[in-house]
Amino acid sequence: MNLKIENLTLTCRKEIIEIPFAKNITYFYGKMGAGKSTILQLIDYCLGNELVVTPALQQEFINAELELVLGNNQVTLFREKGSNQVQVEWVDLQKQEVLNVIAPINKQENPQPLVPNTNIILLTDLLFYLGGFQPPLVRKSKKSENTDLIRLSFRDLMWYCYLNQDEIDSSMLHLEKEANNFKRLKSRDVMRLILGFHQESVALLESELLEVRNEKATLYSTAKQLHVFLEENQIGETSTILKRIEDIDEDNQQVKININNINKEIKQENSHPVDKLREEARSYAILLDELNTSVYDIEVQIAQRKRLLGEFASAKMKVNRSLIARNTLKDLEFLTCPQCERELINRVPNNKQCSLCKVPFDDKNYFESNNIEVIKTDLTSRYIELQDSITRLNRQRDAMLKELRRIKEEKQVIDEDLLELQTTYDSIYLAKAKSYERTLGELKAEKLALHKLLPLTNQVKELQEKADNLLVDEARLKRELKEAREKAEKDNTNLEELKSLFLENLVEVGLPGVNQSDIVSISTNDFIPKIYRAKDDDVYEMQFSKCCFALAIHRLAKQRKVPLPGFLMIDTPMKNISERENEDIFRGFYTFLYKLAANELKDLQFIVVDKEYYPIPEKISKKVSIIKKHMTPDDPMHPPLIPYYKGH
Amino acid sequence: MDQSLLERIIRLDENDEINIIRILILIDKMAGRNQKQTIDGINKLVKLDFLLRYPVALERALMKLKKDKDIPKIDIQVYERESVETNLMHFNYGPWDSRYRRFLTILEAKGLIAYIISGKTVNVSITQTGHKTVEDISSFSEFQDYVIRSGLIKRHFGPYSSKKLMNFFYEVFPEMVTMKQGEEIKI
Repeated sequence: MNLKIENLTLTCRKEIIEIPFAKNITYFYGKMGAGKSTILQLIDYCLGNELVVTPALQQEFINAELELVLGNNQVTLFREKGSNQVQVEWVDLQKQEVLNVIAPINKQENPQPLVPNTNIILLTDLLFYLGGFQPPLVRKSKKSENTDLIRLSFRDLMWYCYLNQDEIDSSMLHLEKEANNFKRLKSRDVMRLILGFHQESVALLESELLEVRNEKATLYSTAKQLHVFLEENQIGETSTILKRIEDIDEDNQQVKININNINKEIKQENSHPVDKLREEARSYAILLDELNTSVYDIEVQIAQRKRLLGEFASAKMKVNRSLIARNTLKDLEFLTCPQCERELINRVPNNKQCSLCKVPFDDKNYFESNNIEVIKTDLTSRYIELQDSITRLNRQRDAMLKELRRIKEEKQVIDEDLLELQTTYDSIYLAKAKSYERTLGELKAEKLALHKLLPLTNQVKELQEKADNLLVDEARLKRELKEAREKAEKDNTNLEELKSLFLENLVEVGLPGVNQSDIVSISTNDFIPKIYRAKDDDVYEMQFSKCCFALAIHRLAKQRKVPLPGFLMIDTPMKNISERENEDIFRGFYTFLYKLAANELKDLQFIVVDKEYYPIPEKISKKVSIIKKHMTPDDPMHPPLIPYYKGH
Repeated sequence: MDQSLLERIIRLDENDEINIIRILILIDKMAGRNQKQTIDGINKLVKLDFLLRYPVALERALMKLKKDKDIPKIDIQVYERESVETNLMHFNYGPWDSRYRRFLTILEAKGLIAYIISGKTVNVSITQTGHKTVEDISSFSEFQDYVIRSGLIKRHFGPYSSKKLMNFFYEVFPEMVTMKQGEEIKI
C-alpha cells in the first residue's frame, strides 16, 4: 500500500512546528527528552491511535496535522488533542477533487457512510479506501468454523509498521502468548494475510459460506415462525383446510336456502291476516264515526227539548202564580179610587155589578179563569209529552253510547291484534334474517381467511425444503473451505521465504551467535519465530530480533505485494543494547537498513529514532533522500520538538 | 212550543197580578218584623225587585259579595236559568218600566201599602192588610221562593242607597252598561 508521510504540523500553544519527512529515510537522533519518540506517536495519533501524553504535550499541544500520500490521494489528517475523530481532507490526484470528511475512530451508534454508497464508516475504513484496498476479511472467532467475518483494521497493520521503543524487544508484534488475547489474534490474522494463508479463494468461500449460512438460518427461522403460528392458531394440514372450506360451502348453501324460505313464509303468512284485520279496523272506524255523529245529534236535541221543558215548567209556575195572585187580589176591594185616590164612600156591596165601574156581572167569569185553566191543561200535556220524548231520546242516546263503547273496545282489540301481528311477524322475520345474514358473513370471512392460509402450510414446506437444500450447499462449501484452507496453509512457500529472510537479516546485521546454518522455525499456530542451533535444541533469546523480523516481513510483503502500509517507523532499535558494547551490531543494523532502503526496500519510507546517528555512506546518500534531525532537550543549536518548552 | 202558547205565556207575564203580588211580598219583607221600615224611593224598590225577579242576577250579586253561605238558599230552578224570560231580562230591567207606578197605585188603592212623602223622596211601607195578605199568600208553595229571596235581598241590600245599588249593579253586570237596547243578554 502506497503510504508516504510528507509532513507533520504540530500546533502548540505558542508555536506551530513543521516537521518534514524524507521519501526514504528520516532520522531523528539526540539525547533523551527531546521529543523524538513523540513525533512517531503523533503520526500514530493522526492515524487513529491513542496519544501517550507527555508533560510537554499535556501543557502545550493543541492539534496535529499529518500530510501524506495514500494510494493516489494527497491526504491531510487533522486531529485535535483529545478528539475521538479525525478530520480527513484528500485530493484525488487523478480526479483533482478535494474532499473533506470527519471520520470517527471508534464505532458509533447509527453510523453514516463517510463516502456515499459505501460502507466506510470509520477512519480505518477510510484509510484502506484511500489506499486503494478493500479491508481484508478475517474470521471473528478463530476457534469456531461457523463464525462471522470481520474487517481487518488499519490499526492491526500498524503493529507491523511502527516498532515502539517500549515494546521493541519485549513484544513480538503482539504475537506472543503474553500479549493481549485480542491483539494476538488480530496480529495472527495480519501474519496470515502476509503469508498468503488468507487466500482469495478462502475468503471467497468463507463469505459464500457465511451467506449460505445466513440464508439458511433465515429460512429456518421463518419456517419455524410460520409453523408456530399455524400451530398456535390450530391450523392443520392443507387437507384439513380444504375439507373445512368444503364444509363452509355446504353451510353457506343451507343458510341461503333458509333465507329464501323465511322470505317466502313471511309473504304467505303475514299478508292475508293483516289485510283482513286492516279491513275490519277500517269498517269499525267508519261505524264509530257515524255513531259519534248520531250521539252528538241526539244530545243536541235533548238539550233543546230540555230547554223547552224548562220553558213549560216556568210557564206552569207562572200560570199557577197568576191564578193565585188574581184570586188574592180579586178578594181585596179598592178602598180608594185608583184614579183620584179619594176614599170610596158610597160603596154598596152588590153581587150584581162592579163597585167601581158599576157594570153588571154576567155569568161569564170576569177573570177568564177558564182561559188560564185551558192553558194550564195544555201546558201539562205538552210538558208530559216533552218529558217522555226526552226520556226516549236519553234511552236512545244511552244505547248508542253503549254501542259506541262496544265498538270502540272491539276496534281496540283489532288494532292491538293488528299491531301485534305486524310487529311479531316483523321481529321474528328480522331476528331470523339477521341471524342468517350473520352466519353468512361469518362463513364468508372464515372461507376467505382459510384461502389466505392455504399457501402458508405449503410455504412452511417450501421454506424447509429450501433450507434443507442450502444444508447441502453449506456442507459442500465447508468441505471446500477446509480443503482450500489446508491447501493454503500447506502452501508454505511464503513461510519458508519469511524464515530465510529473517535468518538472512539476522546474519546480515551480524547478531552474535547466529549462523547461516541455524534453523528458524515459525509455527503456523502462533507465528512466533524461534531459532534453533542445528546441533542442540536450545532456543536463543532473541534480543533485537523484532526489528529484523519486521524487516523480513516488509521484505516479504514487498515481494508478495501484500497491502502493508509503505512505511516503517522504528523507535530506538538499540534500546536494550549499548551501542558502545555492541558497536558491531549497531553498525551492522544500520548498514543493513541503509542497504535495504537504497535497494530492495527503496519504496519503503523509514522513519528512525535513535540516540545516536549512524552516518549514511556517501554511496547510498546519493541514491536516497534523507532528512536527519538532531534534537536535544537543552542545546539551542539542536532544539527539542517544542523549541520554547523548557520542561515543567 | 207553538206560537200561540208562547204568546199566551208572554201575555201571562204581562199580567199585573203576579208583578203586584211579587212587589207586595218584597215591600213586606223590607218592612221587617215590626213592619215599620220603609223603602226609600221607588228607584231603589225597582232595583231590589230586579234582583227578586231574576234569581240569576241575585246569585251573581251574592257571589260578588262572597256570600257563599246564602247562595244555595236562592234555590234557582233549572227553568229559571234557561227560560226565555231570563234571556229577556234586560227589557224588563230598570226604572224605565212605567208599569211600576200603576202597580204601586193599585197596591195603595187596595190599602196594601202606604206612601210617606219625605221631602222629595217617596218612602213605601206595608199596611196591616198588606202584611196579612202576604202572610196568606206565603202559604202557597208557588210563592215560597219570592219570600225566601226577598229575605235575602233585605239582609244584603237593605241598607244600600239607590245610588250605591246603581254603582254596584254596573260593577256586577258590566254588560248592562255597554248593552244596546233590545239585545239579548245571558247572565
